[in-house]
Amino acid sequence: MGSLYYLLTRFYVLILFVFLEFFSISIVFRSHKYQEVKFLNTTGTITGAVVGFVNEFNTFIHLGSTNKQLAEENVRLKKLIQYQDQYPLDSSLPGRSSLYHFEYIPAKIVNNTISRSINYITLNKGSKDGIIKGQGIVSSSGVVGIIVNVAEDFSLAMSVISVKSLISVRHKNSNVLGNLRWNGEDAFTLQVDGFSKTIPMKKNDTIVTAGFSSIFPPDIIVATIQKVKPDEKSSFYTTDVKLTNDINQLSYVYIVRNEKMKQLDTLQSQGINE
Amino acid sequence: MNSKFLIANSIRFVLLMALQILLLNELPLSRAYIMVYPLFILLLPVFTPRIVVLLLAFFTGLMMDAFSNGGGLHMATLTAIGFLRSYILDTFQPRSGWDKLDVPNVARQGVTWFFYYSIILFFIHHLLYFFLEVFSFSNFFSTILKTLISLLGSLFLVWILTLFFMRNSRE
Repeated sequence: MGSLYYLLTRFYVLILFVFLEFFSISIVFRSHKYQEVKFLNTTGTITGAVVGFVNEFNTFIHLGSTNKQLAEENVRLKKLIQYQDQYPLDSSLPGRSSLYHFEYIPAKIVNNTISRSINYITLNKGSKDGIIKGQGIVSSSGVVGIIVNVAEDFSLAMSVISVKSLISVRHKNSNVLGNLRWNGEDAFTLQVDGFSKTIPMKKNDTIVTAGFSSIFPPDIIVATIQKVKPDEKSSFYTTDVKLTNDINQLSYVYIVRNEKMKQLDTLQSQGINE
Repeated sequence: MNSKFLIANSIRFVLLMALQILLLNELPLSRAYIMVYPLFILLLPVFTPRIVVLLLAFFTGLMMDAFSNGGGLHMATLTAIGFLRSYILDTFQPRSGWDKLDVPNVARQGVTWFFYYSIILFFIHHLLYFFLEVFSFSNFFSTILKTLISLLGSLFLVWILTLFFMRNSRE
């Protein structure tokens, strides 16, 4: 008993250090394993208010670019309406709408970073607005991220600029499939792997979402190819791409709600189990 | 004397946290993440009990995590710095040993001394942070690169800050 007391008095700092470090690293481990920041995130009342205050300022600075984005989106939508008036949808064709039913919930970005290895985006819509974990986020000009955590009034999304992010994409011209990842180096340059060398590809080709998952609608523009060269060790290209939206400049985004998401996910996971 | 240190360090804590959370966390840097908040732990007086330094480091990290979606990263790395600080101070003590009222800053210990002291602790901090952040060694060199670029930015800012506030701390 005396020696235990001696140990405690002699090494109490070390013991406390080991305890605190173990505690912290277990939280880090959790956030990596389950891809969530369960405690300690900016969806709380106080922390959300502080980062929100910073963002009010940022929003003000970016008003010009936000305006431009909205104007561009307006032009695009107007063109779409004109096109639909001229060529009404052929109802006899098997429309995608029967399989995928997507709804868009507008949200404002409260906090956003690009300088970490895993970047999170805080949004001002939460479980009250029907946001659930796993929903995708798009902007008017591309893909932004996936919801990883939901509070009552806020939600937290993992940006596509994250080393843990993985989104299935498609080369628009050839329909060949690949995975959009980030190697953690330059936040403005992402990578796509899985593009087969047999397909010709060139700079400025468009990459769109594959649309196999229930997260993102198909054919949403994601990125353009910056650099493509065949990998000598495998049968794939190594591809550097540039996102079509500047995630850092965004103020408003859309959360994608797929009404049949739950149904699709359970069905697909059952198929694997049996 | 004690209350003066308490007030000075409290103000420094608030200012550094504000600088980090309101400005540096929001910088749109694509290859670096500049962190200056560990300076708070570095500048605590030498006589601060080790256990207090450790608990303050843990608490500072916790606050940083809460305000920047750190997921325990700042907590884990700064706790390690809080623990290691006393060993670095022991190694780097002046020839006559530490004075009771010494503070490990530029004004008291000189530019060269603070240069090495800050490089060592900030390097350990940044290295731990970025490797814990990716949680793997698969992109070893890109992680090292990010560590070094960020370290350069952080130290540059730290030195500017310490030189700027040197006159105040000498009084």
